[in-house]
Amino acid sequence: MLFSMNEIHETIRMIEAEHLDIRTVTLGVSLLDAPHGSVDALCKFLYDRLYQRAHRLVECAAQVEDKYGIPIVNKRISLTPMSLVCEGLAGTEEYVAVARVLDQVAQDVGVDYIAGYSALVHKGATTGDMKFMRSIPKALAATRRVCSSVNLGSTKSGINMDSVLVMAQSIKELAEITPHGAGCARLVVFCNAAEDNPFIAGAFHGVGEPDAVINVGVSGPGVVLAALRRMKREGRFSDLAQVAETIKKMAFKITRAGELVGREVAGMLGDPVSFGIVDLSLAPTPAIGDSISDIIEEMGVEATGAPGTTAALAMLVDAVKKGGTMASTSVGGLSGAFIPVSEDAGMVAAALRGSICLEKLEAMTAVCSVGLDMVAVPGDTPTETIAGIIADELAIGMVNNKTTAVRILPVPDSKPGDVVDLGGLLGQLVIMPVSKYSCAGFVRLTGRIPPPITSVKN
Amino acid sequence: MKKAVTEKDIETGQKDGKFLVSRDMLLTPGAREFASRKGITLKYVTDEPPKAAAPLKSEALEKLIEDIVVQEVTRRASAKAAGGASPAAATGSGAAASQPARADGSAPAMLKAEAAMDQAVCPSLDSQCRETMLNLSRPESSGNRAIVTVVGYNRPGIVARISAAVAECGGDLADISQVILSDYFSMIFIVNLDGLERSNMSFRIFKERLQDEALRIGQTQILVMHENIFKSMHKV
Repeated sequence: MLFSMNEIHETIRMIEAEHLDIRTVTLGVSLLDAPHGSVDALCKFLYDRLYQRAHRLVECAAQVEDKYGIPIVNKRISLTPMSLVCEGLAGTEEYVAVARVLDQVAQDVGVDYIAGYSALVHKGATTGDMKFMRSIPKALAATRRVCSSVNLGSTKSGINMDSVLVMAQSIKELAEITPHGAGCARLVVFCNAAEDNPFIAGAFHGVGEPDAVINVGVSGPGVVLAALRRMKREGRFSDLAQVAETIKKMAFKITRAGELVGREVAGMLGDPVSFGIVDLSLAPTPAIGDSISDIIEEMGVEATGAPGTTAALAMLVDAVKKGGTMASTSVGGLSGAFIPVSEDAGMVAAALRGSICLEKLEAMTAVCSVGLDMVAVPGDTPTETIAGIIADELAIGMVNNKTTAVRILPVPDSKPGDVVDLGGLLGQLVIMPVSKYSCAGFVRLTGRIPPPITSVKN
Repeated sequence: MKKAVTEKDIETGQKDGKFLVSRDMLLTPGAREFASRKGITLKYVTDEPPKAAAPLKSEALEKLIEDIVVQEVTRRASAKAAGGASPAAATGSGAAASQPARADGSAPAMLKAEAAMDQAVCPSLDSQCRETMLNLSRPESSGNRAIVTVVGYNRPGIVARISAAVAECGGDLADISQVILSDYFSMIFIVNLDGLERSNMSFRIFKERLQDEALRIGQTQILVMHENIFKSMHKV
């Protein structure tokens, strides 16, 4: 037989029982040739271009899903950062009109999200960028599928603290005008944002990208967890090298499946769509057993957040990267392991029992992608404190030459320990306590945190 | 399309403890086990001892064709020299007769070679050689196959029903593996899908057809996946 029975059964088990799925197939579309100046002309161009590029995406993804029996959870579109496309528009109303068109086209082609309502202001913001950043709360509140991201810092340029404060204000405003602050789940701020990231909310189609690409994000914490449990059952769970080896092998297989799906969808969509990258990130879902936290606990840490968590996570992420890069030459995006608190049942449990806190999460993000993700804080947290949380997280990315991000939800009228159910893949928010000490004096300083010495490499 | 042969087929088709297996049959592991348990000898139609010691390699085939062409050209040249006998009379081939003026050209010579192989050479070759030649003349396997996994409560007729559904869609059973554990079975079929494309049937319809069949059989789960997913995950 072409394959051994074991190989066939393993693949089926990974998909049927261990939640192996393709988390997202994201079509990146370049809008660099959009007309400037007239909002009507721009809206018409955006609708036509996106409809033409993406109207077959969902159908092609469904066909591939059928052919390989592997679920594709999300179909998404990412765009050239809209602040570039919208540069020259007059004010918030016009930006919101553009966002509504994006929402409409996303609905018409049937994708789950459309991302790229984004700005790149890591060194400084143009007049247009400032207007754009201030439009984000209204644009997201007026839409359901539009996602926004802003790159506030980079290793090369430092952190733009003026824009950090602007974004902290935008996050607070957005939380107040959407139910339970849920709109903030579609807004993320970055340091060293990746141009080919397929994951929401931070996806955008970088200016260095071609006309249209398919980027794929795989899932698979459940598969890794099951492999570790098998090791335990078979009495092989003692040596760290063996644990790393097992994770590597699983990551290899997951990545291969991702690349196959990406290439197939890109091929079906045809010219000018090409295959871009596979993002290796282990992305959890709220499903039981599909959790990064469970892997850490399986590795022998009693509760995620306990001492040892960061080391276990570092090993996990490194093994995933090694297995993944062996499997594909087209690795990109964020490629690590996500620890979105609300979207991971294990992390929700850890937050509920209090074993994990914002500070420990921050430490964990030094060794994994992507950052403080889907964390909820009380709605009365001062804007400056949110800016301070953002600046801390971005500093980790800046100094360590990696992508870090913050997706934080200041849930109005909530207190630490409260639980808010957002439903679907967004999961359950547990409101986490925030330090009561202020950083207002620091975050109100103007200008930019200079780039670290590690940025001078040439 | 190969026909799947099950225990039942063996039981009804056997004669004096012998069952004739032709090349268009695919025996299920269950059927083999049944035959051995009942002491039924499986007599393969191609059971005759092969004359060639080893399967014919492609170089050997090329050599064979070359020999035939040379023989044919020489024979024709000598026939011409002997009085210009009609090429059609020499071979009985209508195709060659329509181009008598170019009889010495390479294309008609090849045509003749093929005709000669069909008419004269093939019967003299043993079946193994012929099969190898057929295989060699086919394009490389397209890799367009599905892995069909069936798990469920064992009862008679499952293989027959699944394979009938596969055949109905234009699929071709390439291999079967089967395990029976007390009342339950697990089967893996490898199905060649080239026929599906010819009959313009989509993978989705094929899958749905098999899933319908599993529903009708009851207490049976069927999974249909293209082989590429297994290839990409398990083969480097």
